[in-house]
Amino acid sequence: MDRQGLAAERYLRLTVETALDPYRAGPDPVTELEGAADALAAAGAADPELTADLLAGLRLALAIRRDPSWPLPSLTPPPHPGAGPPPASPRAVAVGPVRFQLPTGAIVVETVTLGSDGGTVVASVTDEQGGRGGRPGRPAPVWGPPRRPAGRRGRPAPPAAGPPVPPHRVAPGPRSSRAGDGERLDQLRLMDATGRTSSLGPGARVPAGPGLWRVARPARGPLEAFSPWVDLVLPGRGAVRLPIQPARPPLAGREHRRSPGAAWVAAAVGRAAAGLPVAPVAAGVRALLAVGALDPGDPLARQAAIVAGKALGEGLDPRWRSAVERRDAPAVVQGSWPVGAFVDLGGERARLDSLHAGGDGAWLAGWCGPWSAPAPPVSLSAFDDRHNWYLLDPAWRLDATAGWRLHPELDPEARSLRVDVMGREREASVEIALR
Amino acid sequence: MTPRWHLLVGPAEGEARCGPNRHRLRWVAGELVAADHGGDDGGAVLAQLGGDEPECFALVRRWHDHAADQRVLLLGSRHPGDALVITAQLLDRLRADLDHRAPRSCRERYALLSLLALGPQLERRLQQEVAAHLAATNQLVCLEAATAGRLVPVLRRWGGGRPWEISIGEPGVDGPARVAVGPHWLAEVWGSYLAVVAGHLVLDVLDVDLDRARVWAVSSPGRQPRALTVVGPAPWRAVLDAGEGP
Repeated sequence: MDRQGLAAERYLRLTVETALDPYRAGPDPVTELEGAADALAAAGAADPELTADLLAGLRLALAIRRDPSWPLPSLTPPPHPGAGPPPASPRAVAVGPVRFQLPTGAIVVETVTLGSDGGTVVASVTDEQGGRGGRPGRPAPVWGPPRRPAGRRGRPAPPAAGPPVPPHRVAPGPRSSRAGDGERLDQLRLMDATGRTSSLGPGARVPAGPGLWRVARPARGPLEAFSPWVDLVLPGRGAVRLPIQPARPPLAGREHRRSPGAAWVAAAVGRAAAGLPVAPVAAGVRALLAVGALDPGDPLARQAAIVAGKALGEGLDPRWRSAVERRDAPAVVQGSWPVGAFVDLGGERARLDSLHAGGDGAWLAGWCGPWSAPAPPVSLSAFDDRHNWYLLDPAWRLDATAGWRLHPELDPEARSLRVDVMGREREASVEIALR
Repeated sequence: MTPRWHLLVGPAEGEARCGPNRHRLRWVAGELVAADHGGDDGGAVLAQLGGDEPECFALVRRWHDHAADQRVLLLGSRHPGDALVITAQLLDRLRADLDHRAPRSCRERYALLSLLALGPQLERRLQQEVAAHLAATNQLVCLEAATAGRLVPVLRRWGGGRPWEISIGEPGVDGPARVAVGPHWLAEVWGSYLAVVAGHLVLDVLDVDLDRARVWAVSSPGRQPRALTVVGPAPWRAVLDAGEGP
């Protein structure tokens, strides 16, 4: 272990001791340790397993010092769901939404990614009692250029008969099915222009709202990443062809000359500015400064002090002030944009697949790694061409796909968005044209 | 070779529920024995044959398993007023959840809490075991934090409520608020209730001879440490000045 690692472990262990001191003064000890552990793990100074063990140990130690508290905390933390391999290569992207209406709900395919390291389908699924669309509370949106249901093996599909069906929306078929939506996804097939077909392997899902799940399922078979399109076929429910945007060339990061803890501080300040619950900024910054993982002269430290003091006006950097001012902006933008960017920051890598916006807000799908701590190893933020700043907050993560929620909502007048990916030592920017 | 801290403490005893009875476990010179089972190792044999292992034997086994477990120091009591509330009902509840499908973390939690519930004497001996292991294996980061957690309450009583900077190193008091103790302080000094004797803060043990120990101690903040001879076991008392220390 290096010197900074030893200093971080020492700091965390002493924080545990302080937390157990009945004469201590100050904030809630668990929150204090959480902030320090989060920041030090994100900065690469502390081993994430150690920080998780210490937190679990502190919770149990506190529990056995008061009148029996139920349920007793676990001694060992469960493995966090973010653990997974770093992205290996760029991926081509096709974006939906493609809605398959089922008698018991709906499957809305949001994104399909294809690359040499595999492919993934991200979809929203309502449960059998839900009866709600992929986007709660409104009909499935129709975005992007009109597309027609696919014909066989890449031929244009015949014109649809009967009442018009919006592009990307496949009407319920005549057959009724009692099969669950998960089983329905098992039946989804992807087909590329060469005729190669792939089914979906077992994946994972996270709740995305009442009766709504977000699902990521890996493609089982190899698909041609240079195919101009991919067909989504759900037997008995129809087929839809999505154009594929080829992956962009990998983007190498540039050194940002900030200290390793800067990414965590930037994200924490951004969360505070966006009005989100934030891990104790002050505790994290104190820990980073104590172990030398944050330069005391870094303006971010001053910004952190401002947000820790809840003073979000005077002295706050204009970019974060723009987020404060637009906190309550409504989610009016609707659309899906393929990104297909791959960023190599040396120690960390990030894959930005697609950007989606709808009634439930805007989010970016992608992955980054190595993701061994509760917080992702990179910090994402964005600026639009109207000088609005956005925080991209990790909202969900599945096997090798995660979603970052944009805060505040997208400005409807914005025509482009620059996403900044910041790692411990390097950073890079990815442009997304919104119009 | 007998660890020095074994010479500084006497036998210790605790109780645990073993079947329908409460049985004693006794620690003597580094060994934990199931006192109410005599020399009978039938329980262990029974366990090997697939029968239920008596809780006393299970505790002895767990003691050996966790004698180097850092989590003992994280969970354990820091000072006599820092009582752990691990009731028999709590242990029963945790034990009821254990079956062959229970995750390892649940089994370890039960094992550690059942050891810490043996009573303050045995709990302190277990902490000494772990601390001595950390000192012997040079795991100083964990040891330093555990030492600080136990030295701060002592310093608060001895030197007032000022903030202290505590480290492991050459024993001494540097200025009014910086204290360094040796790596064996937790096992030898704190564990043996030797932290403060006759108003002196004990920083290290120099040597032990039967019921006497020569310690390196300081009378008040800002003063130079000196050697002191104490007679024990606890409650220790100072008997004579031994001149300058090493």
